Amino acid sequence: MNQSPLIVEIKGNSLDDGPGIRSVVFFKGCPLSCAWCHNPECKSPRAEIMFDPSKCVACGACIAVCPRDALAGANPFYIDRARCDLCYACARECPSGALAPVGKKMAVEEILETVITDKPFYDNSGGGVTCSGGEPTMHMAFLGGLLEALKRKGVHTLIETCGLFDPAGFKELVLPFTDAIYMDLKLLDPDRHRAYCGAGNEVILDNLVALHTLSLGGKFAFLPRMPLVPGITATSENIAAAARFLKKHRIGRLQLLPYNPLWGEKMIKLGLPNPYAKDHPLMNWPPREEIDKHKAALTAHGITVP
Amino acid sequence: MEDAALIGEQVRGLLEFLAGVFNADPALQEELKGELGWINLTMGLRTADWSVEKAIVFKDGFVSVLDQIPGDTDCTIVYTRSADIIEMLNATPDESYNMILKGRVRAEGNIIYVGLWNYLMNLVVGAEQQEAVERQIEAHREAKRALAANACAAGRRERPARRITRIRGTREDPGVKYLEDPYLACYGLEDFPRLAQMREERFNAKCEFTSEFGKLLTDFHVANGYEYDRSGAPWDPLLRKAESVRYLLEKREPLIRKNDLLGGTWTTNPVLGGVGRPYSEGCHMWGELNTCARREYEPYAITPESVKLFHKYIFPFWAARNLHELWKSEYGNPLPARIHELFFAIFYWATVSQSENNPGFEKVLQMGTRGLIEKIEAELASDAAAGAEKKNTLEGMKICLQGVNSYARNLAARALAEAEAEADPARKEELLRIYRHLCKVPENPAETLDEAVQSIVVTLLCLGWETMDASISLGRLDQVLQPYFAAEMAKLERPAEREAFIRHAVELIGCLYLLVASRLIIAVDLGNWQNSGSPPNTCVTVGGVTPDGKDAVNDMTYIILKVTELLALNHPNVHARYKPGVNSMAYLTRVAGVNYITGATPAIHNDDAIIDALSCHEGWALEDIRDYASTGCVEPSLPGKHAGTTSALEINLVAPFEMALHNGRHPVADWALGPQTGVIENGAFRTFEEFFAAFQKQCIFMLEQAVAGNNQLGELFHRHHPHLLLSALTDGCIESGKEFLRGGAKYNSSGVSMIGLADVVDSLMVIKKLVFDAQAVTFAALKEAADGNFAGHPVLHAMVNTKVARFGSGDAEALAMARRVMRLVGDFFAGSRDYKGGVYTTGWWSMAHHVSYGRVTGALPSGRLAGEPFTPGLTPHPRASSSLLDNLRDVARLDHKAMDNNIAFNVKIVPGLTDSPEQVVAAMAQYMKTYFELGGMQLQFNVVDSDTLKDAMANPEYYRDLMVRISGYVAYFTGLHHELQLELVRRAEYRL
Repeated sequence: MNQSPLIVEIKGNSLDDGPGIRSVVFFKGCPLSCAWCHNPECKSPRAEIMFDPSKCVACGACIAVCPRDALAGANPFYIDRARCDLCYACARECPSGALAPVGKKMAVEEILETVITDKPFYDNSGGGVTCSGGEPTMHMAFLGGLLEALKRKGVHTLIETCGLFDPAGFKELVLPFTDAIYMDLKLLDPDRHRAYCGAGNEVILDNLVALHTLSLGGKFAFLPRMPLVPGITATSENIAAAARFLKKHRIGRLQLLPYNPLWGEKMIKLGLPNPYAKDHPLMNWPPREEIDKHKAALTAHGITVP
Repeated sequence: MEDAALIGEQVRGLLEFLAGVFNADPALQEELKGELGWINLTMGLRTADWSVEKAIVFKDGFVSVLDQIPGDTDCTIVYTRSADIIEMLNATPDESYNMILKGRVRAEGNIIYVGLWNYLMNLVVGAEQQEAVERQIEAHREAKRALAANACAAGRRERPARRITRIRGTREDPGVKYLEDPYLACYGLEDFPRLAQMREERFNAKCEFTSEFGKLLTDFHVANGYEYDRSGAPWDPLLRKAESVRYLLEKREPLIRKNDLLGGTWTTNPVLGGVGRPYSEGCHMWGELNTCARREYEPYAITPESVKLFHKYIFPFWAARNLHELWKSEYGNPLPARIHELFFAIFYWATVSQSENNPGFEKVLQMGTRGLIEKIEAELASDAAAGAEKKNTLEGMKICLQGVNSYARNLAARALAEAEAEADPARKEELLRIYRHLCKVPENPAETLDEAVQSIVVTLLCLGWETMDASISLGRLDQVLQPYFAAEMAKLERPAEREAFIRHAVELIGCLYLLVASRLIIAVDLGNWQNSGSPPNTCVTVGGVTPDGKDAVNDMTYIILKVTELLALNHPNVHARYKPGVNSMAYLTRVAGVNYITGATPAIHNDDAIIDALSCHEGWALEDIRDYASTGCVEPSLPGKHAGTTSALEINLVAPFEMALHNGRHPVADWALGPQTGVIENGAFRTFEEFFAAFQKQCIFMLEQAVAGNNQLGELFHRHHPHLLLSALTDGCIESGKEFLRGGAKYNSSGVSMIGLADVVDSLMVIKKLVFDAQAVTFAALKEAADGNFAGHPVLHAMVNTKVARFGSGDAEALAMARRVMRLVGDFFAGSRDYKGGVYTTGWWSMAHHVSYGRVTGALPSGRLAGEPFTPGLTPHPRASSSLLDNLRDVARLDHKAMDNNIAFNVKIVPGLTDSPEQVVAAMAQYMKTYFELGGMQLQFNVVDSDTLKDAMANPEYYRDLMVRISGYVAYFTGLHHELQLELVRRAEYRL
């Protein structure tokens, strides 16, 4: 992977991505391709362009400046991405921000400058900076550099990872500057993992166990998390398998993440067809009891669900 | 012209019809017979260009119509266009107020007679007028239902669940001596059946517009004269006012509310009433006497006897003697009065009240009225050279204090009589206790907590009857009461006794809260545009530091916070002070917890910022500044030492900005009143600085009018309604022999609030960035688009909405622009002097004026469309940033010196569904702490989401006590003006 990744967004004032008040840096690119990915704009490591029809005022200014005739109301998603070479002339011209680049090259210093303004809020709330994505470990050296710079400023660091990374590089470049790791545990069955996430889970499970063991040394916090995806991860079989796996490795905790179906709207802006119909379970909020049921099952196995 | 002729005929027909009915109907004839003689009225109706001109004359019971308006007309209604005359006749209340607000209708002459004219018309066409009201109510109901169609109704369950949240606390504050759990988590409202029942009564009550005050005051002056005394000599207003106050206090009915622990009520309706002073706000109600019971917002109960008294006796006596008319008649209808009547730029609150202050209740508690009278007599005896002013001022104070004693004695007698008649032994004992307290206080010093609170109540009620009961605040109630609480606790040994006394203290403060909550300011229907749902804003302040800078949080702080939580009332207006580094996190977390549970109160203030702001006033001692307490909405004043009149002026900052865009003409009022500063279409401004200079000129012009008018009103108030009892309680007045409004107090100032900061700053940024820096659009083209409400300019509208950084986005240039505008205003006021010799203090809060002024403002370069509300207080626009932290950081970086009358910074937050109350409250406290450490002055959270607000609009029966902070004051949401409800729904909300 190249050394300077694209950043999709730096979101301030997040209370959902770790302890306290945090800023979240979203990295672009992920080695997995989960069917339910709720940040589809972070999947590809390459730059993209988004079009938001609800913001468009139909002034036609973009069409006039496009050197490759890639824009037309008749195109299924407005932009003909086969023609578009991402020169972003249209986005610069767009008066309403309906057309916008996805992914921006940012130096460590630039990210630091943005997030450091909120440091007083981190300090009073026990918060800090979360690196998420996408998959931040796809850019191990860059990530390590950013985390090191944050630590030097006294900022609490946390990474959210899918777990698919080279453990040696991780231990050398990232771990020394990381205060907390939130790692996904999605599907225990390797074939289903391959089918739904685009890769096997062997490395992930190894990494999970290894990091848990290391975390017992007290240098960093470690929390495995499972996104509850209706019909995919949120099945009794998968939950039971997760419980068995965790117990076997003496891992006592698993956080459950409620499913959020709103990613479907982002797909349209990216020019990606949404594979699911409106009434598909993946396009709807699951009932609250669903979480309670799985929580109860895990608790019955002696797993704490924070 | 033919149209006008036709309409002239229609108007004549209508007036002749009215005259005919009055002349033929004995019941209507009866309405023209006043207690003091015939009620006569000459009313003119005309268009601005005189193309229509008619008059109707009610003279000694006979009614006639004229084609010319005679020279001695009492009042003339002027319509911009002839068609407006007909439109106004068929309009719903909101439609007619829109016409008034937009200057399409105005009055010349004594505006009180518009009320009489409406009263008389209503007698004939009342049914049609009520139909229009019903039409409006139904249209609003329909709109609310549509808005709520897809709203989640979870708030119906979530709110009651939140109300009963109980979080335990830890004892960290050195001043807390007796509370084991300072949060008092063991108590719920169900533990205080008396308070629960009185609260229920309050929510079931319709406010009564009572006539006792008006009748007694009129009786007094009919018997004793007003301009001249009974001997025919001019009457010194100092003595006249004092005598009238004593008469009122002696003669008013002494009432004790059923089950109350405290004697005394605001009005003859102990649960909820208003006085309606005939010399100020009351007189304007003439036209609504028969309709106010069925209006859409805040309807009043009124008895037929009261209607008769007001119409036939009280209002005729005061019609030419009310302050609004006296301002016009004594100062030759000055420019400020004309600005005031058009509602577009400056609201002179001083036409109604000068009483937004913190009186020195401690003086009464420590010396008693007897001690104060002795002090006054000693001053008179020691100053042989005292002139008439000093003698009469001091004599007047004494007379007022005697009136206070009379009221207390009458209350004591009532308590004894009721006790003797009481069958229930427990209640009998309570009434006897009230009797014993009132035999002692306020005449003598208080020694127990009960005596102290009773003494405060009697004094507060008397001050309310002397002045206008707006924002007479209770100061730092925790500091005032802690010595009495501690002295009694120290005597109690057994835990059960202590526990019982703590419960008693909660109940006693609860009764005080319910007394404060038992009255409203009587306001005309049009007032619902300006401060819909506002209580009179008696403030209670807790926490912060002592005069010597130490932690002031004590047992009473937490008891008062507990009562705030249990009763969840919008009045008193509760304020918590926080001193970073001194006050504990346990205290701040408790404040956050009460805010979470009540949804809207208390507001929180940063001692560092406010003390810094007030310290810029020359000669103000640090130990006095550290003792500040809130009045009105959010304004700091120094209890017992300061004539602060903190909400004297409510000024629309956008008006001078619009005038700068239009060469001195206000576009909606259609009035060229400002200096000519340049025509944009002629290329007047070559640089941004040239335009800013024009804005500055218009701004200064408007602020000069504000100061001139307020100084006239201050003098006028002093000459007609001096505040002598208030003077007796204010340091400096006795020694100097000068009344409160004459600069007698130790500290003097007048407070201003500026409205529309974010809208002006964002507009200036658009002009600077797009017109001058980027040259993406010409100034003329931007102005043309804004003048046309951006119709046909979607691209430009999108650009101004998205391409320019706003105040609150974290952008350095936008922040610098905000600081620059605030400095411009702050410097002007710091250099101005009021009628008391004090400075003007500058505030940035808006009551509900951000909605009413928004209505009369065209589209702005910021992209805000015509008629839309401004942002409340100095809150950034919702589009400024998606991160609350950007807002918090920008507001925290503003210059304290340009906001010495405080700010209102509103933040709407929504707890996550899965968060525990402890998590939410901890997060709120963390935001507050950080914002204050960064320098933020004030913060107020509304803990409610838009869906709940929408559901409450459509289904008010589930939400009758849902409270929201408007801008400074707290209101019950379901009673708010429709447009203000919509503004609250639209505010940015941040997920916690």
